[in-house]
Amino acid sequence: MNGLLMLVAYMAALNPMRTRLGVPEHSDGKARMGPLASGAAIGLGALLALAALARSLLDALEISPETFRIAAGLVLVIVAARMLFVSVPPAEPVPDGFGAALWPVAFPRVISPETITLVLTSAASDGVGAMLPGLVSASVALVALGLIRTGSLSERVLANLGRVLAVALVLVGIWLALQGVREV
Amino acid sequence: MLKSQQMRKRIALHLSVLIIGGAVIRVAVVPAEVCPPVTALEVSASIEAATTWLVGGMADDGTYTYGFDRNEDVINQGYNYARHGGVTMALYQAYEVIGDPDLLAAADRGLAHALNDIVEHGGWMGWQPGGDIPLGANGLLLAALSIRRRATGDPIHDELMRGIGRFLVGQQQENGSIFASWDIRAEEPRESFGPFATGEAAWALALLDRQMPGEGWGDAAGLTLDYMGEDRNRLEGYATSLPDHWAAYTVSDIRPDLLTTGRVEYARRLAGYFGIRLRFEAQRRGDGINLWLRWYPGPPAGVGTAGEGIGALHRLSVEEPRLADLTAAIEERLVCTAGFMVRRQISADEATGGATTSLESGAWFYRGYTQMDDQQHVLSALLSALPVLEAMEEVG
Repeated sequence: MNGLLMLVAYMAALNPMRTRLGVPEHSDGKARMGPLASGAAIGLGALLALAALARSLLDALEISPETFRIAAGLVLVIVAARMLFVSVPPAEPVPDGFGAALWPVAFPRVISPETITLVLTSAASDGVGAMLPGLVSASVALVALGLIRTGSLSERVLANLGRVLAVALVLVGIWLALQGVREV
Repeated sequence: MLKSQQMRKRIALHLSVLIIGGAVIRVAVVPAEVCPPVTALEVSASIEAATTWLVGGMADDGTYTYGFDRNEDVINQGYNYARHGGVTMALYQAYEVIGDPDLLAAADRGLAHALNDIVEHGGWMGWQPGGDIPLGANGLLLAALSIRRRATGDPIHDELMRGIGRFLVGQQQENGSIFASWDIRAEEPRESFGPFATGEAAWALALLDRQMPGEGWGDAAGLTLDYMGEDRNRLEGYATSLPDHWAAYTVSDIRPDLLTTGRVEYARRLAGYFGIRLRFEAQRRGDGINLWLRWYPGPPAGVGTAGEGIGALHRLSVEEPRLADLTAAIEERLVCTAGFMVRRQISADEATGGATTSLESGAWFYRGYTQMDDQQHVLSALLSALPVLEAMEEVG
């Protein structure tokens, strides 16, 4: 994947627009910035650790990076289809205090099947350096969107932009699967 | 308390989706690609066992044992002359790599059988094993002769090679397609195509060009190579791209100055077809749930052709800078294929000890049946893998 495609892929997989609608908020619709920023950082760290181990993990499982691309494409298409139909993440019970950074921000909003899959395939095929800007940019975008106060209008806008990113994720998934088939 | 219970349930749900989803993907989409470790010595032994099967089963008239069913302990008495040409060609390939004069002698016996049925017509020469004159068998015969000449330097068959070359070119159409046979009654090409005959003929022309440079054979090969890469699937009605290992041989053996951008891109696409075929094959274990999801390990001839194709493209990727980025992945597939095919070959110890034990040892079976082309194609693939493994072992 080239740099632009990697950026689009991570934006689509983390989907900051849609994810913003599923992070802990104050009663006035503002995101709880402490847990959001901390959770995003924890999720980012965990995903980077996974990225560093991606090639070894696939080797241990005896899966070639090329073949894993097919599986990754399939996962992304399935997840993206769900994103299209369920444009707002289901509400989760949120703990008070810092715990909200771990649940539900770090997991399952940032560390999710789609981000895990994308991290494994992109790090194994292109290296950690190539996927880092995309993952960091998407995480930063998520935290930045926390500054938006949700209301009926902003929710609709975020949900629809999230759908656009879901379509992008479908395309990324198809592209990955085709690459997996065409590569040696 | 209630909130914490709800939270635990939701965490458990999300983790379950991850674990179960991961397990399903693992089992159904990406089972382990098993590439048993293999050495050059093991590949050499496997090559020797395969050639022993082919040569040991030769009749006095130079024909090979066609097929053998180990479940029924029955020899298939049928025959196929394109396969005769293919096996003879593979024995010359083996001689070229191994250098064993017994292999040259055996291949020459196979060749002599074909030379009994050479006909001449309108300036060309062709092998007519019966009925119409087939393109594919003649293509493989010419490939065999060209490899023989390359390996021995012996010019004894030069005029025959040119004569067959003229037959192949005579079958060729303006768009590069090649009709699959010559109708002996109508005395003209029969307007039909074969799935592999076109590639066999194109490869033969590319090889002939290397032996007889400056006579125009390479241009004819290039024309058909372009047809195979651009138009064949559409014009001959193939729903998917044909993973044609003969096309891979053609693009690998065509003169370097004829390697246009389009032909290099075709080589890249072919590498992809063989790559996915061999990755999929490495996932096949033929037991348990894997049997239901991946079926039995594939027919050896099919796996072998993919191995041959990737082997031919390996040679090209090493020499052609525009494909250099593929070399490492191609080597991985080639060595992996050698690993699992060496393991799948029936050893002397695994032979059942029946009346036809000699037709078990050294063969590759598909659900109890083997055919001469099973040995031929896997042999050719292993011959491509051998120098790669030797180079790897030399580097350490």
